[in-house]
Amino acid sequence: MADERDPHARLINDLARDLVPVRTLRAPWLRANCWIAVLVTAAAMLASQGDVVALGDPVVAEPINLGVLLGSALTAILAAIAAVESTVPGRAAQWNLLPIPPLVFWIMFSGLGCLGNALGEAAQPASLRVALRECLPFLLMVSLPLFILLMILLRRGFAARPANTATLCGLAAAAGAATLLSFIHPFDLSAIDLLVHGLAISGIIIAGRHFGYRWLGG
Amino acid sequence: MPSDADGDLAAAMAAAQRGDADAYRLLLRRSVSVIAAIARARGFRGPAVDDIVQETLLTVHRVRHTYQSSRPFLPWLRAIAHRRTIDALRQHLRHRTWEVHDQDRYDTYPDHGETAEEVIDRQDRHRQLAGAMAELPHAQREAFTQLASGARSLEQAVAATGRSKIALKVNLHRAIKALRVKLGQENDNGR
Repeated sequence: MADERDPHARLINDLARDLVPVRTLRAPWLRANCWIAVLVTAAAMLASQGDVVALGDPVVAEPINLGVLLGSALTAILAAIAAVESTVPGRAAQWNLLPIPPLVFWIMFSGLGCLGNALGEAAQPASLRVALRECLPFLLMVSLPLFILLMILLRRGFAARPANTATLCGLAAAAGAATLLSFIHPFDLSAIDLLVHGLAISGIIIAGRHFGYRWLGG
Repeated sequence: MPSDADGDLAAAMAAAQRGDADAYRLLLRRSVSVIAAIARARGFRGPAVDDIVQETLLTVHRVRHTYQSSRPFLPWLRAIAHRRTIDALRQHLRHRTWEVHDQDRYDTYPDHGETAEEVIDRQDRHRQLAGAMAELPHAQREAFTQLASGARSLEQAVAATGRSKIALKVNLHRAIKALRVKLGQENDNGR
């Protein structure tokens, strides 16, 4: 009998015997849209609670601020899409690079904004105390639910490279939190503020990679 | 552009997602060689390849809902097989890092238990003793059973058998003498 020589025949027969129809996974962009919708809703709520006109003025007056906002928002959205794509086995590894251009864009505009404020006269430069007491807790507390929500959306997928997927989730959550912070951040970006933001975002990405990797069964 | 073989596998997987067991069985059988090739390419051989194949087949079963029928099948399968192969590599490296293989320790480890030869010798002696005891008269066998094992004192043996102390001692003495002769003869014959 051929089956007796095949060491996998028994397992294959068992798996085929227990086969039941399955509901296939929804398209990655549809799953990512749920997370993006939550981010947009949160941004709309924060904008409606805050002084939109007061927030809009520096954006209109200083295009660099608009660049920072767009950079973080696009990084969050594209990192979330890339994370979802990475849980479909067989997808090209290039999907992992999707958030890199807006990330570079975001870092570049943040640096330019900081440099401009340092050379010119910033209206309200943020102090270290404010950065630590307001920005840091906001970034940490907002990124956590964004990270958890994204991981829940990924639970039915299969991460062929769990470390990459977890890193993308951390990046999406950190960039999403930074985007939301922009709506309530009344300060011009100072070097110390930028440093605190950078450390917080890096910490969120590293923590996301660590915990997400375990969550995804790495 | 998916090949004909990939097209067949993709169609089989789509059918399996709808619950077609025959298509699924065929698909898994044809997947085995693909998975094994990936494992061998990473340096695994023999039973380790079979382990990776089985882990991958189990994963394919668990995540079969993630396959999208509009896309080729083989890249999907290879991604899962690569993941399971890397898991096996990590496990192998962990064992190498944390577990020590010391053949001298195995060879020189003192085993306080009986060896197979000792077990056979002991069983032979028991069989010989049982055979010799069966040939003893009842009174001698009773005295030997009660006293020679050391489980009972002379007083307890008297109470258990209803015989006198002197009768028990005499019968024990005769039983030991008879057994010595009997077992000595058997050993002489066995040499």
